[in-house]
Amino acid sequence: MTVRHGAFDDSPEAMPAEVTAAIDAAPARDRRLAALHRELHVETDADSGRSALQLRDADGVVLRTLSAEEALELLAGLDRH
Amino acid sequence: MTATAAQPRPTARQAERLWREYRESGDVRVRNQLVTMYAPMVRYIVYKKVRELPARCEVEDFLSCGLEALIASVDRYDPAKGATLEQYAWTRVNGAVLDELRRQDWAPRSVRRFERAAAGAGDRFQAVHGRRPTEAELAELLEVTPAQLRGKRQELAAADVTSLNAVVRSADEQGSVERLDTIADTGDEHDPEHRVTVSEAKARFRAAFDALPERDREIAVLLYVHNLTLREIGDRLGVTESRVCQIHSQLKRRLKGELADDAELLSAVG
Repeated sequence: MTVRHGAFDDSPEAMPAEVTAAIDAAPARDRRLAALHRELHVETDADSGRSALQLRDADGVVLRTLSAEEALELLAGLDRH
Repeated sequence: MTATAAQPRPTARQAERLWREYRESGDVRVRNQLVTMYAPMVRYIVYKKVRELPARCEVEDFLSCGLEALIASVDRYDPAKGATLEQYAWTRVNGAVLDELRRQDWAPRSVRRFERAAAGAGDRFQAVHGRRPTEAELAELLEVTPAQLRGKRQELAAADVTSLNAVVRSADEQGSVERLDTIADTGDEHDPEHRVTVSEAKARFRAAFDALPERDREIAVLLYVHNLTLREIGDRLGVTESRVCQIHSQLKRRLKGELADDAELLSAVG
């Protein structure tokens, strides 16, 4: 029996089809977001280097700052529709 | 299943074009496009490792770390080195998430290396002898004294704050066992006091687990006992994998809270 907890494997697996499919869906995702007059903007703080994800309207007005989880869920949601 | 196409996919070619455009123009909108294109890899990598995240850690921290790495990979990519942007980003995001796991891990890397070596030695011994090695046998295989082996195990136990809410997976069996059940290999099974402690720790854990909402318990069983992915669980329960991830974070917090007064007891059993 191998206890795997806490033992980290250094070598990344090959990219699975599930991920390549989601990457390939990017153009459709962009179109859906544009149709909603929204864009996802990545704002990087020059001093800290930390990034903030912002949901903006077509004019660049910030509607909401999103957590990473919210931003990724938003993108995944666009894939589902 | 893996993507093994010899020719770059259209999206990969588009990404290379976008990257060159970003490089020349510095237009952050183009960079954003690349980041949102590759964002699903961050989600996949982090959610795949959700079982390994220490109890005190939030998934959000790892998603943020993965996204930071993705942004950095777009900024630092060098096509002259031969890899595609996609391959480069995949490697960097994987590496960043692993580094963050190690950073959050309370055990030094040397102790984790020892853990892997001990697991491997135990597996090889079992393959030959059909049983797990005793403490003395394992110590001999690892070329340490039994006291040193116990010391390393104590370091690991001290670092592993998820010790009891983690149901560990068996590589040679379909099922899984509670981490508590793996402790018999230490040779303490004949120590009545230890057995009582283990039994008490199990009872506390089960009581805390039973106090969780039904959906939390169901998700824990599907994740740790049946080893389903967050996506598979989501499909089964009719919710998104993000929702499953949120419920999983909540249940870890609840368990941690419920077991806060039992930390000493739980650490005593591994």
